[in-house]
Amino acid sequence: MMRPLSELLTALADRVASTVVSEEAGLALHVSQLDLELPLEAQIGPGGELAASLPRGRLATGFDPLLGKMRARFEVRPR
Amino acid sequence: MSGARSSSRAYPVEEFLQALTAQLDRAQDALALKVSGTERPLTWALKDLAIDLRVFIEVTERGQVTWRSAGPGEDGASTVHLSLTSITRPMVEENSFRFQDDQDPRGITQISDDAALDPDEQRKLGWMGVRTVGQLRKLDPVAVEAIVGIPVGRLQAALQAASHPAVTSQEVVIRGGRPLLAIRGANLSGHAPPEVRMAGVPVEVLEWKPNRLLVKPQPHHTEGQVEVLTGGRRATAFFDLGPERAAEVAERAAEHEVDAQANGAAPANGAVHATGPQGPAQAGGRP
Repeated sequence: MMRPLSELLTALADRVASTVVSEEAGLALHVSQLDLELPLEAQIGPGGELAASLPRGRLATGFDPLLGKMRARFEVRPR
Repeated sequence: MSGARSSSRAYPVEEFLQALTAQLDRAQDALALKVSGTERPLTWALKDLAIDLRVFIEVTERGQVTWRSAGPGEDGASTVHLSLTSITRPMVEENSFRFQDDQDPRGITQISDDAALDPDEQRKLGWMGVRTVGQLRKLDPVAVEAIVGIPVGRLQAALQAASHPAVTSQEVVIRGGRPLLAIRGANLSGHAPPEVRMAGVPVEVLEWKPNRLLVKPQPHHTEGQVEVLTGGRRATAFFDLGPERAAEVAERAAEHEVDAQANGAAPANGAVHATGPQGPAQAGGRP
């Protein structure tokens, strides 16, 4: 599903927990950095807005747009 | 270059980049909101982003560079590599033009018709990063002619046309509990303070700069023409304080007059002095 790039970035980061806590072990693991490198379907739309999506399947067809690429680095910041 | 083989439209590069940075701001805001809204101790922040886009780069007849997304089955698309990184506020301020400091922030497209620069000349100045009259004024016309080919005479005529006083906007501001009128524009004062009339009546000019004046409306001022006279030239516009503001102006002015009389000072509407960035000065043209 094509959606604004801002929403795609937010959704991608949101799926990775920045902190994992094990009460059993009495430990918490903090992730400090997240690097993503992904193929990207992208379309420049009205107002120059970039709509983007991850590829919709593993098999390429003649109807698919040319894929680009995205590399995003996220850092964990305290509140 | 490509023909019209795809139904997707081409968009100016500047428009795309503006939209992209706005999208990244929205992503940062959304990620930050999750912290404040969900009581999470930590959140993600986007640090760097690199995107490879498959596009056709086109140049319009007006010299504008546009990008069009490559469609399915299209050959020969270019790959554009974009790398973006987050920067701090001081870095933004250091690398950005401060429009609020511009002595004449009017766009070069607003120069009056008789000496207006044509779209081609405006575009050439845009390539040089010149978008306002204030920026244009700082340039050496001879150097501009040598670099982008705009004749010296055309630039001088445009600068001459842009040197007339002009009022672009007004707003009511509250200072010391009293409503005042801030007049924005260009060339609104020189070495001496300007004379300002509201609905034909001179008013006290409290502060003056070439791009901003602060004046004290009289109690009866509600709407009408505002005139700024400076250096033998005149700029006009219309003001409308609105019923609430006008009532506030009248009420505050009455209170001020009572206080002034109680202290043995002259009434407010009899004061003839004005103070501004240049220090105390006489405001001219009072009846």
